[in-house]
Amino acid sequence: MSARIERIFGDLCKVNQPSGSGRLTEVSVSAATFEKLLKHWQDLPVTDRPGLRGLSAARSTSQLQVVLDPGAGEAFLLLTVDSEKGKTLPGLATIWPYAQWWEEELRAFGGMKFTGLPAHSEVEWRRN
Amino acid sequence: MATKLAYSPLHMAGSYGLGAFGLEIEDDGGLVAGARVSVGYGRREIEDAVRRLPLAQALNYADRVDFLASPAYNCALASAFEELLDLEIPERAHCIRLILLELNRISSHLQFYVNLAREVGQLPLMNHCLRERERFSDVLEMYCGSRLGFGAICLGGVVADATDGWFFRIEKALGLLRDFLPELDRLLLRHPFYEERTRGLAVVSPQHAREWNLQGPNARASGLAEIDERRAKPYGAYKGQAMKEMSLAGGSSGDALARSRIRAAEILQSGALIEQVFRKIPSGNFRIRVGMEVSPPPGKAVASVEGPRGVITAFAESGAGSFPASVSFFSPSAMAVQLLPRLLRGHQVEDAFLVIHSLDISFSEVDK
Repeated sequence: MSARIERIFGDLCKVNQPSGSGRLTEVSVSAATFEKLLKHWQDLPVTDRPGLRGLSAARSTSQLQVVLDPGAGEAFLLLTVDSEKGKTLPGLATIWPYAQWWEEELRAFGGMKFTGLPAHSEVEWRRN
Repeated sequence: MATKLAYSPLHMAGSYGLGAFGLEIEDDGGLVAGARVSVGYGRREIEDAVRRLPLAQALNYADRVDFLASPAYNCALASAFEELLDLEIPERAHCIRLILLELNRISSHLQFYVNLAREVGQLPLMNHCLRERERFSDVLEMYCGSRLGFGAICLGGVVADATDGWFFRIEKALGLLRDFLPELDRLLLRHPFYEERTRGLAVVSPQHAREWNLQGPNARASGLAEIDERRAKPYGAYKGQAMKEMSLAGGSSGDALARSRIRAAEILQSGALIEQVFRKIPSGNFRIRVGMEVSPPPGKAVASVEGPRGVITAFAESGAGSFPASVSFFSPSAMAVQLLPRLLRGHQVEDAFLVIHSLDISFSEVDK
């Protein structure tokens, strides 16, 4: 595990980076660990935080897939967050304010719930 | 008392209630007291549509995500599929892809100047920018037969080989464009009226740019030169290319002026990159044949490409069969559009369109 990845994940979860450069590293975590990770990243300076590069819902399950860029030319990370259907996930907008639009998208199209995500105010505004 | 203005109908993407973009401004005596932006819900479902197509056909849909950055979306998705299939692309194909991506960047930046010149009332300059852009549309048409939604990048390489005649036309177009850039400077970017109006307008500090994940030229105009996927994570033929340092004559102050000037510097940089590749493009195959019904093993892949507006990330997942199980894009304009309310606050209402255009937001990629 590289120093950068170690700093990003701390001792919250174990990451096995695949051999060969440029290969996607997959990490699977529970919703509780994901919440701890978000808190850990909040304490890091902005330059040391991983960058958000994608947010999607796994099609057949209630998993949240988060693509992260660890920076410093490291390969992408795919964080899979296991969650029960209908359970509220920790909001990503606390770390990445721009993530709110993707949260909104996942709520509308994937039925996922996030803490701190405001109501469908934009949709209501458009109706008026 | 502040008056609410429905600003979005003034933008071509913002037909009220239906478009990809809704912007409501609170006008307080000519100043923006607050702004509210909403994006999407006119979704074209491109990410969903590609799940019902074989990989080779799905790539053509990526062209439609952003009509101004077709090759970039195409290349991002093709790279993700190629990683799933574990395909090794010929070096010549990588070089042609680089040329296509840089030509697209030039063409998109020229469209930025077309829009900007129109918005500030410099109509003759708008026509001149269009004329220059047409040359690059001609060059792309000469390569793939299309002026929009090129479909130039396919699984395993590119659709056609590059010829000497094509290289000659590109060099000629680049030469003429370099002659035109001083005119652009004189009539717009260094015009005293434009300078006075845009200096200090809607400043994005480097810290803000990082916090809001601003990408591409917008982030680089705020002094974050390292936010460039071609340098941060070199891919394809960008590996080993010495990228010419941009002369940031416009400064890196993060205001609307710096954002409008940086694209002219990037045009020069792209031209230099293309010429660099001309000198070392190897001979050989431009493509390896991949069948239409190719089935990748189950897996996940992520690929990123520096598009004209910033980094485009494609995530692809394969299941059983020849269709992708899921595809999703992360587009740079979606970040820039969310920054608008903060940027507009405190500025004059009539400067709002300048702020929007200086960010070069493409609503078709926001609303994919």
